[in-house]
Amino acid sequence: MTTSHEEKLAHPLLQSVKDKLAKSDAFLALDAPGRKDEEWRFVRLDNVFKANVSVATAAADVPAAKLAAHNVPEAKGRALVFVDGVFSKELSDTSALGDISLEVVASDSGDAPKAFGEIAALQLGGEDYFAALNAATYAQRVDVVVGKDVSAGTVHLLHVRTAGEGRLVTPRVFVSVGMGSKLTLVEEHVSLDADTEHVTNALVEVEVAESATVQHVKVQDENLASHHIARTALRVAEGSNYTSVTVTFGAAFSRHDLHAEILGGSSIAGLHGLAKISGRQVADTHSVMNHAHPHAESDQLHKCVVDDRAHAVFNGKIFVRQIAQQTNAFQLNRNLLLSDRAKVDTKPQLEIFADDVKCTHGATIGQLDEDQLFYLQARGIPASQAANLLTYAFAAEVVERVPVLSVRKRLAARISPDHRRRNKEASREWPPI
Amino acid sequence: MLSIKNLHVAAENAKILRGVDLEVKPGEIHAIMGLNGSGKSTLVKTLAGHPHYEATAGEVSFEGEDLLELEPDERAKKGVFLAFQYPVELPGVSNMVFLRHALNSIRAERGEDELDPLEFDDYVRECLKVVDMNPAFLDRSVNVDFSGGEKKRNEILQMAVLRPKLALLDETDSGLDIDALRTVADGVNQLANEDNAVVLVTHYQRLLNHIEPDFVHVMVNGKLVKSGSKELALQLEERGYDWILKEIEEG
Repeated sequence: MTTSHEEKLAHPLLQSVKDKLAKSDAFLALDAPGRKDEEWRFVRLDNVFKANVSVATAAADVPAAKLAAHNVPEAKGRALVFVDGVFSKELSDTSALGDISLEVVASDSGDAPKAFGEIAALQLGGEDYFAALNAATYAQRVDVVVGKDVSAGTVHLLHVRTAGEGRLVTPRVFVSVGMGSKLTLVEEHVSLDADTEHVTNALVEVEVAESATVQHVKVQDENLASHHIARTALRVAEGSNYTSVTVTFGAAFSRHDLHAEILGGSSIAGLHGLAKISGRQVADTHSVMNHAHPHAESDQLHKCVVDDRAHAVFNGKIFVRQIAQQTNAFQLNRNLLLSDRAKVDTKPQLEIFADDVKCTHGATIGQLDEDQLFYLQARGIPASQAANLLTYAFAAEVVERVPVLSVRKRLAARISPDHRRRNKEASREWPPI
Repeated sequence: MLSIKNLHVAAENAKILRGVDLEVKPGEIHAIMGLNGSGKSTLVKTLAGHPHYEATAGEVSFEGEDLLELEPDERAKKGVFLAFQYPVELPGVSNMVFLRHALNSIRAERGEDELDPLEFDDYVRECLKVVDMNPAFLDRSVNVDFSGGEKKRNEILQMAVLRPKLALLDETDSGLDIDALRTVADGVNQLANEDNAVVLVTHYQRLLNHIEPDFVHVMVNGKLVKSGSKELALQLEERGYDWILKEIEEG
């Protein structure tokens, strides 16, 4: 049974971009994903498709003071701010770009950098509906281009969502780091209010050239009415090092697809993640690590802290192609359930076609350890504090990997037990990491 | 200080302790010896409040208070300390943070000011000397990748930091080589004084060569069946436990 174009475009989610989509054969060729699809079988997208959202055409007024909490001093002079998906020149600071080319470009402006769109198209297992939606509808893209042998410092891309009208936010980012260069990218998604239902559909492509290093930090802390769907696609070359740390606190529903194509030896790709969710949140992470070249390493640590009736999903695929001898691939998914009704689905998948490789993977699901709790109590620490300390320690293992100090400190405070109480005196007790 | 009367303890419906009586006064060191499974570890774990053990009958008072009514952390704050037979690993929790947190919980209970990180740093460095420990251990996660001996030493470091009134040492000697045993025993001896008390549980007499007990008790089948001086420990070492069992049978 085929679905007509009208039916495909009937979802409230798509109303404001209907005209663009009607012209996109690539998008119209795809059916909306649902639970029948292997890649989406653990979650429901009904609420995403039902969301009443429109596309903002101008950046709403946001006082700079409201963004102070999200300031990244390391990225001073290299910070772009987007309000409901629209670039805000006023809030951005590009006063110290140095040797980086950091440009916001309209989608219809023609010239795209080499490899743009190619990296996202490399994903395995068919087309991606949301990537196609992004490609057909994004209005502005960001090109972060670093030439050869440049120490580019830190770039901050801050996406804020405002109160009022629900928006479809479509970030599109292309990052290319040239041979021997180094870039740190902080990608942050936040809401300025608690109730407005926004939908984000992001697509980030990263090209890491020979001997280049990219550190990518993604923080998703949107409000609990929102939905966040994102894909990070990357290609790493010989001798390069790409490491990402993705931290998920927000959104009612979030889905993050990471896809790494390893195309050169002596390279390292690390995809780490922490999802700390509660209430009825759903956080779904799918990763693909495709070893298509010998002598490369990959490393993944994905942790979930799941409270109340929240639901975390992890699906981590590792492919080691026949050519990829001497691959060293490591993957670990650890889940901490803080309530009886919290739920985790985890599915590590290894497909190895080479015979001389070292691949380890594992998944654990557990509650707080009784012996650890008793040990802390036996030293005078009350049960509730002991539980908080152990939860903090569990989550901190991922936060510790964030390479940007100000962001790491901010995240450490966010996962600290005193976060809710905002008690400065008490938080002094918690370790700065 | 500690008064145990007719204590019965069960775990998962199995009776383990069947009427233990013990009086401990400040300044005393008591050793409890017995075969595996006799219930000696159960006794000290019950005193510390381990959730797996349930007191089904009897009384325990600590400085006049009903100890069994208190949560484990409350017991610790009152000055009860258990050196674990199998110290627990706490990945991601640094030894330094753990120790400071524990000490400050206990100081708050005593009505003393909390120590800030700098004050604590000075304090803990003095404590390290008691067990001859390298300061590098403070920056590591609690007990993670510690050797058996290092874990036991870390337990006594915690005792040095927290200065309990009643220290319960559960098989602190097991897994220690002779040098480590001396260091640990020496640490305990430095910490023992007229105002505190030590109850140590052990399999073997060898720890008692270094920590001299005032009283030795023998536990058989969940009861303290015989008490004596340190000479009793030497007798057990030489003759084993059979003669005691025989004595009991003969009434």
